[in-house]
Amino acid sequence: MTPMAKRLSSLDRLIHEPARLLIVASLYVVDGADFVFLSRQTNLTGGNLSSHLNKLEEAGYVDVEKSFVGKRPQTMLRLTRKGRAALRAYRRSMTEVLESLSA
Amino acid sequence: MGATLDMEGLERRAYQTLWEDGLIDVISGVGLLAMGTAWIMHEAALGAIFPAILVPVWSSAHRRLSAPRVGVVEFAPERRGRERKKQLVLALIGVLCLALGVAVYSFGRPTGEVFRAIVPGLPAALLGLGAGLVGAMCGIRRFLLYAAAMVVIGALGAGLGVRPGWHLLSGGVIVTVSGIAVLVSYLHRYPVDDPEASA
Repeated sequence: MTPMAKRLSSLDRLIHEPARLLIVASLYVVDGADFVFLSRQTNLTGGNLSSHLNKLEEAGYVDVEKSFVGKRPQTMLRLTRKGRAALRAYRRSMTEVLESLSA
Repeated sequence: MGATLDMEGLERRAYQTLWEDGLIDVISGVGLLAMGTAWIMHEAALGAIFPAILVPVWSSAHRRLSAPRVGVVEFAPERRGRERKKQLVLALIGVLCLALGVAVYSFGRPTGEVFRAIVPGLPAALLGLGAGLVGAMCGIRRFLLYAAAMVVIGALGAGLGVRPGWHLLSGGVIVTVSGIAVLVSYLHRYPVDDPEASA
């Protein structure tokens, strides 16, 4: 396996998907956000966002907390430590891949 | 999504949603209208209580209006710390501007023609300065325009011999009308629909 192939294969494929990368990055810069906010920020539909969040939650990257504010249901989403570490690792790997491409 | 993912830009964009609804404009405009009216009724000192009343009103109204439309965000501790410092600085500047404006106009004994001509324009100019600081510190560009409008109103009003209360009323009308326009556009752009329900 060439060094480039090794680097590419080390990329976290869960985060590499553009919509999930945007979700993880949007949650990385804040403490937490609810489903509506994330949907507006990422321009993803409810169904699409929900499906990506399920995958991120299964991987332990996102913490989902459901509650009610008055009569309105609210789903708060937070990136876990594992999720934050995964994004940092992804950025490092991606930077290395891009640097090796431009060399 | 662009070729680069600007993390600071994402955070800034999330923060800007706080001011998108135009409520801060409407509340500020109403505050100016109230202060102007109080001044015209020779109760300028009463104007000081309006900012204290209107800030909690904004906070509560903003939560009720924006939570179902654009959702809820909790900012990181660094941003919250910066916001607390900004609020403190702005509150101090606001109180100083107001106190200075009221003191100069009500108790000052201006000497010299130039000074006497400038003094009536000071309250509007000082509030304009406050609006400019809010605009610069919170990244709300509309407030920079309001600041310029207030300074122009103060200068014109003083030049024409119009009393300060009317300067504040004129500024209040501009800021309130602009705020209502921003608010209406926001309500059209973000209707209350629950994307979670469609999930």
